[in-house]
Amino acid sequence: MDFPVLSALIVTPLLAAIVVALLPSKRTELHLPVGVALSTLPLALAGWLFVEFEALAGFQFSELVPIYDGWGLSWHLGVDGISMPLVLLTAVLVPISLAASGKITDRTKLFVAMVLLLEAGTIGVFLALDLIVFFVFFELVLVPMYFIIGIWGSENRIYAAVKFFLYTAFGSALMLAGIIALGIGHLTATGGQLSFDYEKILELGVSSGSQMWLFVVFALAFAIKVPIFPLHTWLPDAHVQAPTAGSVLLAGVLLKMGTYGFLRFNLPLFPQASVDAVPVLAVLAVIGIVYGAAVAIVQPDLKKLVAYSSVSHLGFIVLGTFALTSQGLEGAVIQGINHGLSTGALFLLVGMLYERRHTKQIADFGGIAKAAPLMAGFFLFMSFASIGLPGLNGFVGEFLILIGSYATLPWFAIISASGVILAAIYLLWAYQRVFTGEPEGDNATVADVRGVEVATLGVLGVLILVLGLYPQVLLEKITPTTDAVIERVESLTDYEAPEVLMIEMGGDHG
Amino acid sequence: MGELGASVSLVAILPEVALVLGAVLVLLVDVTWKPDLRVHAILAAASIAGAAGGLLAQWLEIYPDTEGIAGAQGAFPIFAYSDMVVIDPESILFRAGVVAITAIGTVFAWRLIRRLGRKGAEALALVLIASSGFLFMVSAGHFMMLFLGLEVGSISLYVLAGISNEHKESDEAAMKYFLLGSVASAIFLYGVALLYTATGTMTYAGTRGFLLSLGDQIVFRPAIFPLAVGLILVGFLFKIGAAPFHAWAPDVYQGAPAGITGYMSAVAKVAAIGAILRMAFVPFSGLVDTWQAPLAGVAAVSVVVGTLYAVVQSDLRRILAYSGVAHAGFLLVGVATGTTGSARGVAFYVLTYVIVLAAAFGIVGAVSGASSSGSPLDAYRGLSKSSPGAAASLSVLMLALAGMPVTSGFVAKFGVFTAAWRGGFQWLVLVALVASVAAFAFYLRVIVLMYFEEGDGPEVELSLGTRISTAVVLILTIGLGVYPTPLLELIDRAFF
Repeated sequence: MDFPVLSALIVTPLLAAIVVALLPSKRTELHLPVGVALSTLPLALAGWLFVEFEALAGFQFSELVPIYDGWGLSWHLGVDGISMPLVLLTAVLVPISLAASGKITDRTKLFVAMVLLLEAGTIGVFLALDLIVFFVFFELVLVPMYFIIGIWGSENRIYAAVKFFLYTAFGSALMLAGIIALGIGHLTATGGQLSFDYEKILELGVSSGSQMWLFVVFALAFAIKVPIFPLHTWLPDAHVQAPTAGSVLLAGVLLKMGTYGFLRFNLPLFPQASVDAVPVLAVLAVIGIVYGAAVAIVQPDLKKLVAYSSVSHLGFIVLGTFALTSQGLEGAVIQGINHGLSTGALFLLVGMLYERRHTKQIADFGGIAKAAPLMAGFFLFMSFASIGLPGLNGFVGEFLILIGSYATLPWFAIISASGVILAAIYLLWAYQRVFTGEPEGDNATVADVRGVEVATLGVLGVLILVLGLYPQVLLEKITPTTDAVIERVESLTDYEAPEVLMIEMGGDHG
Repeated sequence: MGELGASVSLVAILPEVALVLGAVLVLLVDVTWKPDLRVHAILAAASIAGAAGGLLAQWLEIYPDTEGIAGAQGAFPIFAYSDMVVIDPESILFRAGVVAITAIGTVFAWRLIRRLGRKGAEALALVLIASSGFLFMVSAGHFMMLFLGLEVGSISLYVLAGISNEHKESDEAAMKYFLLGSVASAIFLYGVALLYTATGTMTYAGTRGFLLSLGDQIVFRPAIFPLAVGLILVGFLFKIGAAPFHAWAPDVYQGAPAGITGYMSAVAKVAAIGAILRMAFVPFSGLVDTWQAPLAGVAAVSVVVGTLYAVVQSDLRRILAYSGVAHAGFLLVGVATGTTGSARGVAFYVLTYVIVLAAAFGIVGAVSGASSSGSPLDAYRGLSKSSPGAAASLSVLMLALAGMPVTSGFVAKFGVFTAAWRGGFQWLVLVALVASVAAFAFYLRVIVLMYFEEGDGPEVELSLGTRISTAVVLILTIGLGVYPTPLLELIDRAFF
């Protein structure tokens, strides 16, 4: 048997967490460096996975070990073009967010262990192909994030942590009912075998009569996670209260569990219901785009501004998903990665500003660029990436989504395009207020980014540039899978995806 | 089953004999030599080990040769003493649960036993006697045997609840437990009497045969049957603390000495659920349409009431008591479904739940003092800093009670819910799912206090025995959460 690389991706962070937990409590200076060092193991595995991943539809590196036949339960893992980029993103962001947590002094060991546990859970979510295993990881992720927000967050952390937990747990409980129903549906259809295996249920299909309610319960769980308007209210609280590492991972990968869920489960399993639900989700996505951006503009708090920009950006991903075109789906996948990189970087920068000035209020800043030019440069660069400036990664995703959705939802695409303009307004205006002008008081003596900070931002910056200039490196591995999803929806419903005239942009369907 | 003499079987009562012998020895040795407590520890350990050995002997007895011709379970059940005691894989499983709780409960109660001084030996003997009663209860094949086991166990527990005279609350708890428990026993007994009037038999097998022979003809099924079954079940719902028969539980668990509440609550629950399952599947299987709907109703009410009341409590033991009401509801979801799958789910649920419950009460006892009455939540503020081990253990146990994945609590809920959904109780599953999310509110509150709130928690000293027991429970809880297959397969073998 080949080396079980996918299991290793889940197990190595767990082992790393255990190793860190076994370090002596007194040696606090060791905890973080050891954690960072160990978190490069899953990163190396993910890098290898990326290189070896072939640009094909279907699952690769699959592992299938039965756990309990009575329930048809199995340790079933696999990776395809939708999950591979997310695994890579997780593996990249964890060492970065750990490295950016030097200011954490309270219970460092527990902190590092929780971040690594979070990594294991998140990668598990993206790799699991058994619905129960998926659900286990989906819930497991809540625990470390709950602790990360609750212990190391700011003043209102307890409220934020509990709200985060209960909101998401509620969504997933209903999904569990859906999963049970799917397993029993399999049992009824096959005449006796209970199974929660994703591929088996996919092969069998879901009867059109039960598609709608199942779609709703799955969609509710994922919509809370994304979050889709109006289920987003936990997000600003969680983001603002979380420590920097928590915000980076929350925005970078945890929210993607929602968009991933739509792509992995809702579209392929409930195609008819997905087609029927397009109007609702498209409306909510567009509301999210415009509302998130509008609220971001008026935010006096820089971290909240970035948090609301997430609501807006995630709206694009939902719109792309429910555009039900190849381009829309590709865009949704790659926009997920882009958002993780650029918003992650922006949260890092907000964290650095907070460490130096102990405030997140935009009004308290001004003229930082004079004292910290490099930091200002990074902020501008990341803002451009987030806005979607051509040449940087954000452009690729938003462009694909807008092209893809224009074909099926023209009016929605047109309104959504305003989100790009609004993003320019809130980010550049924030930049102007924080970094330009004459510095006063403490702002004049703000230290510039250095050492580890430059390294973490630099890595993200390079990735942003690479994906902006040469998106094919990732897109060519995404496209076969997203095309297969659209084909599946087409083959099982009356829906036909329109041909989109493509310029040389997103790989090989031009 | 033939003559009384023909069905005598020592193996069938070996564990009970070991426990009762242990209890007698503890008492005799105590009055004769007034020895060090360590002697009692050795006696109790030997007695519990003897009970475990007896279980093993029973297992080997009913599975003499896997190749042989055996019943549907591949086993040769023992029907001893004219069907009074039935030893089959199912009863051995629940007996193992009782013995395990006895072992864990004694370890956690040790500090209380030491504190009780000369009365410690009595407490220890009561624990062993109670367990022997509960052992009989789960393998009863006759309603009188069931009643005797229930009373031997319950009366011992009433005394244990009031064994410490340091707090008035303890006496109050014992009195309340005694009065309400006796009423429940009386109701149960009345049901048994009615059933006997109607059927002329008190054995499970005889009752089952009689009821099945009636068939579906309504005219042959007078109201006496629903009445009898109803009274019997109400008696038991009282014992497991299902709503609306739960009012005693919070006061008793709060008032009784902290060291013993874990044993009290856990052992009663595993034994009562074992007995209810057997009643549902053997004597009352022909009346399934009579008890199914009411039981489902009680399950829904318990889940909702337990969760809602637990949210507003400010004492951890009251929270655990109300969460116990909710858990009784989850268990009854499986019992009410009445399929083999749901019985398996209930078995896994109750066996994993009670060890978590016992350990949680054990840590609570360590935090608030062995003989204390009441465990206010405020004492847990900042516990993660003063006693990281206790806080971490309690957190895992809370998450397990909440049914968080990667703990046995999730597997248990999943098993019961899947079986119930399959059995047509979708509405009940939805109610239970929503309640389990709401329940996070109070389980998380404990974690919030221990980890998120600033404060100086108490320095908790955990004895070596407590540490080992807690570690074993945690390993089992997470181990069975990650890889539940061994226990699930064992249960599959027991419930065919």
